[in-house]
Amino acid sequence: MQPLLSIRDLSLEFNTFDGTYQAIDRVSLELNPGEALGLVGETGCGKSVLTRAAFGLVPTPPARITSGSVLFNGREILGLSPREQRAMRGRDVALIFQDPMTFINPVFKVGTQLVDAIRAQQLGKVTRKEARDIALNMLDKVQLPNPVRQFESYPHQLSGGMRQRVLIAMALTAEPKLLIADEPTTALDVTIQAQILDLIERLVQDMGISLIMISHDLGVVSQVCSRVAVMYAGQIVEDAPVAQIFDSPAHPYTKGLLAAVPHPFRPEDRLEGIPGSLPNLYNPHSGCRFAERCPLAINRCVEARVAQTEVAPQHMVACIACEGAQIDA
Amino acid sequence: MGQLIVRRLIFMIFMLIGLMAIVFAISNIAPGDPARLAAGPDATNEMVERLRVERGLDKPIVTRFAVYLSNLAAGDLGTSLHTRRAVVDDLARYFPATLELVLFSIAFAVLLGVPLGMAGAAFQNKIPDHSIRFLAVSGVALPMFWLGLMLQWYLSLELDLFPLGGRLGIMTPRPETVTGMLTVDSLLSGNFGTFQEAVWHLVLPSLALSLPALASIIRVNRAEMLETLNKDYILNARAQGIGPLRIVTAYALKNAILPTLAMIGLRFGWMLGGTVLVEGVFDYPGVGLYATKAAVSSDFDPIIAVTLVLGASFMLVNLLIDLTYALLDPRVRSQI
Amino acid sequence: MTLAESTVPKPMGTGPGDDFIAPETDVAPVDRFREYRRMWATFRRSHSSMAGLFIVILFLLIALIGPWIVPFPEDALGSIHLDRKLQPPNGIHWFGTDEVGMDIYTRVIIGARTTLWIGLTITGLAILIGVPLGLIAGVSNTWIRETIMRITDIFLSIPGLILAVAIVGALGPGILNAMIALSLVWWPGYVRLVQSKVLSVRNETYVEAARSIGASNFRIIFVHILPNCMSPIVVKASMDMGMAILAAASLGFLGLGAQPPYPEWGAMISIGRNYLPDWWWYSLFPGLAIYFTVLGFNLLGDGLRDVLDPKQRS
Repeated sequence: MQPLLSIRDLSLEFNTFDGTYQAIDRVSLELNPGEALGLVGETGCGKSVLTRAAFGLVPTPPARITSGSVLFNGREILGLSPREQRAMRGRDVALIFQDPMTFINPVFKVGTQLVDAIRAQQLGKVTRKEARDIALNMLDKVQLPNPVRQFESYPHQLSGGMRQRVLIAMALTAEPKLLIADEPTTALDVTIQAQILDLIERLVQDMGISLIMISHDLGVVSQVCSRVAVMYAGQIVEDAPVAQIFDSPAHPYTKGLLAAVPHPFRPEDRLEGIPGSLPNLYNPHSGCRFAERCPLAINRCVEARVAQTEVAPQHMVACIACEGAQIDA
Repeated sequence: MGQLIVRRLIFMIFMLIGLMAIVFAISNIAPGDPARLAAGPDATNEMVERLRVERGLDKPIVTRFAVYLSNLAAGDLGTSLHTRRAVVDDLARYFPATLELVLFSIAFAVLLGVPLGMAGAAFQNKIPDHSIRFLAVSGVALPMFWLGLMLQWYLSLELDLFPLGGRLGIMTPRPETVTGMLTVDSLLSGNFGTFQEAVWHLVLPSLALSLPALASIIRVNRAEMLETLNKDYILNARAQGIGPLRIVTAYALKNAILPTLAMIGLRFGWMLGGTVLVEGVFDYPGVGLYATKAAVSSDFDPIIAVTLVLGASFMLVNLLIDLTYALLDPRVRSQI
Repeated sequence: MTLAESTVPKPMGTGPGDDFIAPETDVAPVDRFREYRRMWATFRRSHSSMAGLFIVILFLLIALIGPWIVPFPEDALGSIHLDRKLQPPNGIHWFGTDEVGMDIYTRVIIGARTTLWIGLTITGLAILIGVPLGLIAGVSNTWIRETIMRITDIFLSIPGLILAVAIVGALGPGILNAMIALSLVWWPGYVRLVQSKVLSVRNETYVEAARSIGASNFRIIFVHILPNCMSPIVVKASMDMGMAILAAASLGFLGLGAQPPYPEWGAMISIGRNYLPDWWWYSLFPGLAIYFTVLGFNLLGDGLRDVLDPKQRS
């Protein structure tokens, strides 16, 4: 089966006053049609930048893609012209973002923004009237109460959950092949979070859309996704089915991550933090970026790139310790 | 909304009374003797004293201010020494001319400044942006009286493209006065020849008067556009595949124009101030020239009246700007 | 997976309070000197800021040593050489001569000193009046604050140049009166600036903390609040130098400021305009001098703002 999205060896850096910031380091990631992948990592580890850069949403400069390729449906999309990239966005790939408060334009009516988005996604082939019907239909699907009235409202008149529904409607009207949900529930109340997650899960399944769910919350990811990729400081350290990640994490970072989250069935367990802090990504060494905080680190960790190894079916880990362990076995 | 406007207008009246009190106080601590100035250089002491009593100049300042206010309420702003007419009549003649000039200039500055600011932001750090920024920094640094002189020198004296000054040619028939603004009046009377000539006379003064405003509008609009283009909702619009033209001219502009509006209001005030310079250069008979002539001859009634009228116009414009703000920003609208 | 479990690390972390989302802490301790170097580096990278700095330094230099480098020092305060009047720019008179034969280059150079003096006086007086009033208005909660702010509002409700013209009209024309008038219309801007800054700072946690341990009002103002107002004041002062110079030249041009033959650029233009178009150099060069000086201070102010007060950008 041809993967829907295939990111290979992608590296990206930002040129800033303090030097070159290597935000993404030789990341490879594949997503099959219909699959739901969770992308997990701490704030600032490059999750959002990775997905945005793949679809031309990171301004260059200051960013610069230094290596790698991104295949979408087998087609290289990194070198596309802005116009071609724009034609893909909304139609082939849609994004929803973290904070519905800031990602919706405050001075335009909800309806105007929906109609604009739909007309852009349909490449202007629908009239405003038709777009309005599509939009109202979609608002109904995302279970926005009283869609006709909300259509004429301004964003500040809607609650956070309602706005996120609007943004989901906006993203999904053109039935894209891939939805990238960038922490879609982080800014919402806990009660609303569950509703929105359910909604995304249901819509994605009904419409047969592949999903990349970006989150720093393993719980959210385990609810919606079948596979998880763990990112640390611009590198993917582990990539495995959800059950594997929880039951037998292989990378020391993943283990630390799990140890820092309360277990739903063993709340009495002591939580463990990871000592140290994120490494400086200005002129980093070329090895494993977790090495400085890793209890298993050896000299080789920082000397050269650590390749991903399959430690179990579909369970990839980038760690010398695990590599060695497998060879020993 | 209506209540807000009424409240603001009442507040404005108090501000204007305060403004007059300040100007009145300043003009009365002045060293000169207003009675002697009013009587003229040849007057005898007796004549000066008679005039002093006649004009109430022998009374204490608070009494005089009260008298001034009650006269003002009755529509009397005193008499000008240098035109020898009632100040109210002078203002009725000169103020429309100034208003016409300022409206032309602000329209020019906004219609040119907003698109240029947008273009600067859209092409950030490319050649068009550099030239636009050069215009923006130069515009505020150029003395407008000097710019007016240079325009006059080159475009009217050397190339003879524009008239040297004034509002109309000597031989041109004046339209019947309705608003006092020649462009409007000539259109109302259907006299297109006069209209054209009135516009022609407005070009150079408006250009000189509007350049600093144009420059600041470009600056603010460019900076605000740049900031807005980095906002999350723009990223979302781009993620939907909405085209760059629509993003810049609608999604970003409508957000960025709000701070620009505040600058337009502020600059309107500076333009009112600038009329004293530009009207002098182009011999344009408005309140600016009137005030300068009054100031040079220590003629107080016109000065106080002009301060009052321009202060009131500035406050009214700011009220208008605030209302426009509410019209454009739904969040502000829902609060009033 | 047993192998993976065999590599279970020794217990990580220090305790339950440790969140795994660690902030980026790879920042050197605040180092004043490093901060200045960084500011200077930012400033230096901007061509327009450097151009502004260059112009301002050149202007200050000319203002300082002007009287000793001019070719015709006797023309500085007015002299008459009718034999060489109204000569166009040439090798001897770089900017030409005026209607009584004075060297315009000399007078423009000498004018820098007048201009610097005017700009410093107006800005300085405005700061001396405005900053204390702004501090008082920001700190006090009583009628004092209301009075100060309402008077400030009234002053700001009228175009400054008009008010200045009115004041000079009352005081009589002259360079000193023009400077007094402009200072009187300039201070309200500082009141607004300082008052709003004080209001925003005085509720900051560290000021609350200082208050809670019993620091006096006086100490809070001078140790905590005033230093926070310095950057915006410096930026505004640099901008205002340019604007005050422009305004003073405008009054000079109107005949309300410096009186000829005093070497002031605005007053020179006001005479020179009568000699257009044939003797264009008379008003061209003083105007260019005003333009470059004001431009220099504006660019410098912009650069300082970018470095000192990036949030105030607009």
